[in-house]
Amino acid sequence: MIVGLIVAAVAPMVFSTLAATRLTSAGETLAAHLSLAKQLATSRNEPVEVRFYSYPDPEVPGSKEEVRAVSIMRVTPAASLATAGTVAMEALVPIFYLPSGIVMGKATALSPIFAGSLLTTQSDNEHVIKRSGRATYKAFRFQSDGSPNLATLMGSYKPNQSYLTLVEEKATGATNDIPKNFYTVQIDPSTGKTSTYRP
Amino acid sequence: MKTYMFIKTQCTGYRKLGRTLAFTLIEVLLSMVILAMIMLIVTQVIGQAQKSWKAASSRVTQFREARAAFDTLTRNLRQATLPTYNDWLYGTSRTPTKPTDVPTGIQKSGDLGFVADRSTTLVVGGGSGDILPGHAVIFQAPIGLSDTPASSGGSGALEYAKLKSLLNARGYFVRFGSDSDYVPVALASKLQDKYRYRLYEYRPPTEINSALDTDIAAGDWAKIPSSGNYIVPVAENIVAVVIGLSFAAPEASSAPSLARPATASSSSVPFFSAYNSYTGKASGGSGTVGLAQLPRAAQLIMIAMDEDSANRLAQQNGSAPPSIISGSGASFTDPTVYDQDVERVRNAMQRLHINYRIFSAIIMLPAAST
Repeated sequence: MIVGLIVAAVAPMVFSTLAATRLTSAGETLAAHLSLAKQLATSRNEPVEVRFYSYPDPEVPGSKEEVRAVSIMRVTPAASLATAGTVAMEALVPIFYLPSGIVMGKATALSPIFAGSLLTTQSDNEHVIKRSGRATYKAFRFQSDGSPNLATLMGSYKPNQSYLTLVEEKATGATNDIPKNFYTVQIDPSTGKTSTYRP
Repeated sequence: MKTYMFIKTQCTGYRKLGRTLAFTLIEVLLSMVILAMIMLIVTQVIGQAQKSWKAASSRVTQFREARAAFDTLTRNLRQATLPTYNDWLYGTSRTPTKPTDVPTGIQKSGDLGFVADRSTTLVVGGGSGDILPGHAVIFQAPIGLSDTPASSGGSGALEYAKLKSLLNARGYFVRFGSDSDYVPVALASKLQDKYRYRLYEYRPPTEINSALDTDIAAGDWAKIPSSGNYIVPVAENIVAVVIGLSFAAPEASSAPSLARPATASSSSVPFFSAYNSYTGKASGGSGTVGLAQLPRAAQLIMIAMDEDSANRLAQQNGSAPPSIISGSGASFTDPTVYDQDVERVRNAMQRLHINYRIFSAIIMLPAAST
């Protein structure tokens, strides 16, 4: 009985620690993915596009459309004059799906990169996300020198608005505040260097 | 279910003893207390191991960042370019006062420039020597950085992305300050300002490169703003960058006449700690160097410290710079005694118990003409 009481007292802390560990792991993987995209652009000497896919969780009925996956795509030139102005995409690494229950916050305070019309929302016509038939994505590019085009899209150098935040899905909502448990990944809009912030 | 023990008796064989003895509540509680004490000791040991691992990891990460910054600096500096041409000289000026003026000589000229000097001199509106330690440098290089959005090709495509040799101005300097402009907006109220020495890169796009703009005075572009859109932090905890410049043997010190081409008049190699290719002024060394000369070699020294040391200094000094370089007595004004200056800085950092690393390299600039 005493052991049971101790376990009952410790259990909530264990659950929150587990959730924090999952969030940290997802955040570190995301930061590594962004660094990998920068490195691929430099080593291949060609632009690389990083896409953030939004879709409802197919395993949770009634879930909302949230950013749940990241892909790194190679930007290939148009194959012919007839398709000039369009680009064909090729995935360079397997898609990184965020763990279930963890999403990238879309509120302005959580992820200003996704706010407004900075990045255009496009439909996943190539059906990159097999888990959902109605995914959309927003994307930015790393140029061949490893620098992202975020400064160009923003119009000026605003590193304090060039970040995205991972949170638990149950913590997202109408509120614009950062929840207690979060993992923020900042991308320098000029150099592409990633920095991470954790409570 | 009851369990029974049996003991062997002399006469009748085995006799049932009774129920198994079990632990009392006191014994269980006592054992749990002992277990808790053991767990406490183990937790402390794990915590200590974690601290040690974190300290070592931060040192590795910190100096990896510093090494990457040094590589970036050396790679870009190696690309510095300064094409020169011979221009007519009218007395002391390159432009005649009237159309009938006859040239009096030939002068080597270059529209792109190379300027290296103390950071306090080169960085506009920057601050004192403790806030802007060491040297700064600004030059032109075919880096290919542009920012004009493309009319097609998808969101984020750049119009001139394929023009990899576009000319860009590029500059580097170290400055002490806070990161309040850099921290994510939503976290600004949750985080304390972090005061550190940082290496900054001045990286304007080619669209605003005014080196060839005839509407501005020659060399006016060669100034580094202390802040703005194109000032980007490259690495933290870079205490200073020091530059020494070596030039090819000079041409004849007097302006050559039209009938006689320029010839080298000295075999000594000039070296300086500061040089402006537009004015030809050089200081902190010896020798003769003229206008529009790109150094044939540059000695780069970069002094970095780890985050733990920087954090400790920040707690001691707050928003005031720690004055590591000025406090060491190193002046870094003469490249021939840079070794002695570096030794002074080493001693100062050891006295302050700072974990540091010094990166040094001599870079050849292929574009330098002899």
